[in-house]
Amino acid sequence: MTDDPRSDADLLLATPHEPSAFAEFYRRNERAVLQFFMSRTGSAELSADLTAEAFAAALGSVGRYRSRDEVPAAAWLFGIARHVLGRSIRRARVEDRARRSLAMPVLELTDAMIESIEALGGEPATALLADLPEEQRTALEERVVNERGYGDIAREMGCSEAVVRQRVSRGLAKLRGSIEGTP
Amino acid sequence: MSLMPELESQLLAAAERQALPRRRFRGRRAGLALAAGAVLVAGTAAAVVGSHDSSDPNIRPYLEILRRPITPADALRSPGGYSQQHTRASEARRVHVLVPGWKAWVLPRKPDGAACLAVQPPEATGPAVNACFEEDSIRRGASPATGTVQGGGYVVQGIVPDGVPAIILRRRDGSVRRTPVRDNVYIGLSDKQTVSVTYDGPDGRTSVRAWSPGYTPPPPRPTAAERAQSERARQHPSRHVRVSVLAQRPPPGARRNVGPLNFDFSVMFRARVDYGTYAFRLRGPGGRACADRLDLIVRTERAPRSRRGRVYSAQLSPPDGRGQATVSDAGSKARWCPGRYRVDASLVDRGRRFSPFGTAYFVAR
Repeated sequence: MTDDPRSDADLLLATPHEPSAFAEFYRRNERAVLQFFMSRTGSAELSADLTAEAFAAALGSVGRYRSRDEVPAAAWLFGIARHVLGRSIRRARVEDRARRSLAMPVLELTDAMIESIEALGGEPATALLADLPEEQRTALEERVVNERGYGDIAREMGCSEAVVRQRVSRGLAKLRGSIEGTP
Repeated sequence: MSLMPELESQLLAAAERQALPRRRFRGRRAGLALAAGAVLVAGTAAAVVGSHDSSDPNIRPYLEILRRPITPADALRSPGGYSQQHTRASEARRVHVLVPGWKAWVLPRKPDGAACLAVQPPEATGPAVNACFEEDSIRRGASPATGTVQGGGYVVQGIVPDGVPAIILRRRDGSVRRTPVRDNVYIGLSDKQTVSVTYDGPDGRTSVRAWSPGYTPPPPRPTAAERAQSERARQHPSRHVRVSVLAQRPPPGARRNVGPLNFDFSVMFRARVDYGTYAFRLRGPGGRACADRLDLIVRTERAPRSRRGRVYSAQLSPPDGRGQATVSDAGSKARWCPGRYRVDASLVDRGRRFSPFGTAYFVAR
């Protein structure tokens, strides 16, 4: 972890004029996104390619990210990751449109990297959900895993949409902290 | 610390490229508003990005290029295998090469600070370090790096001390050709084999041998039908191909490999795809005869001359532990030793190593 005190949303907003902010955003979210893809594909190399594409797509559309939309930055990123995964499954090959548009070369993986990514797969993010408070876990499962709308979840949980968004955001932050070994 | 630092640096570079147009636009606006703004922008463009210099202090007095500050324009991105491990790419200085399409950098070697020359021909995917020059060889002249040029011709390249405006290239047919020097570097292209390089340096006239190698013309480009066949073959990267290993004794006096044996081993097979990139897993016998059990994976560069159906050959080298330019130097202490070896050959595509398409065994005695 670094000492940059800014939130993920602030890092995304700073990226157009401060490129290093996106590198920090990547470092914070890399493991979570890799785990997301590992849990769905089971392949370290495929997950690495999909992660590269997801972050490239995020960088390509970072100018459209607005914090006032009240979409947590991590949820925005996972939305892109799901989209990349969906397109790749539909086309039966790993999507690389965003990387090509940014002129990013093909990622060369070393065996050490593959082993590290495979090690992530042994600790699925879903197992870490059990450590979250119940309302955060429910909100996160419904929103991220089941991909339901905030309004829908709010009606079911008997609270406002803003509260659901807050629970999802806090749940994701705690998950990331667990993955990176920080409180 | 990220798990994929290469991806992190790629994203950072892409973010910087995205940010550039905005910066330029703001710079122009500021320049219109304030005359001093233009000075500020110019100052930023020439900003020194590195002041630390690990080049040999005994070399710097001879090479002006190593004495000038490093600027963003000097950046050397993604140097190849050897240079990544053994040179300091962050301290590279870009050379203003006079040969169209060619790029070159001078950068210090680890750990002694010798001046290395990285060159990228027009058809290459990245720069490669072809030669490094120590103080003595810069003063008195060192054998320059020679090679052939894809498409035909010969190349000679080297580093010379300050004050040398040009070198004289002598060719096999006796003809001479004057090649200019820029930023202490010369790159000489010739349609005939080269014999020597001569120049007037600080210690007087220097003349060094520069034998260019024999030239084999590249195979013809694949036709559309052949390319389609190759692409179809890529869909089945692990389909069996017969792989064999050949032992060759090096010429007398040339001892190229490490260990008690003096053989070169080459892995050979018929390529199923054009321009393939391959990985070879080499496993050794171990036991008391060996210092360490050899088990390493060697990845090749994309082969620009490799065509489907033609024999592909790559030399197998054990790690030498001496920091030399062997692609298989993976830090292991293993050496060639008598016994049975196994080689698994795999196709690598988009950074992914597929299951082996063939396996060969050979016995080193």
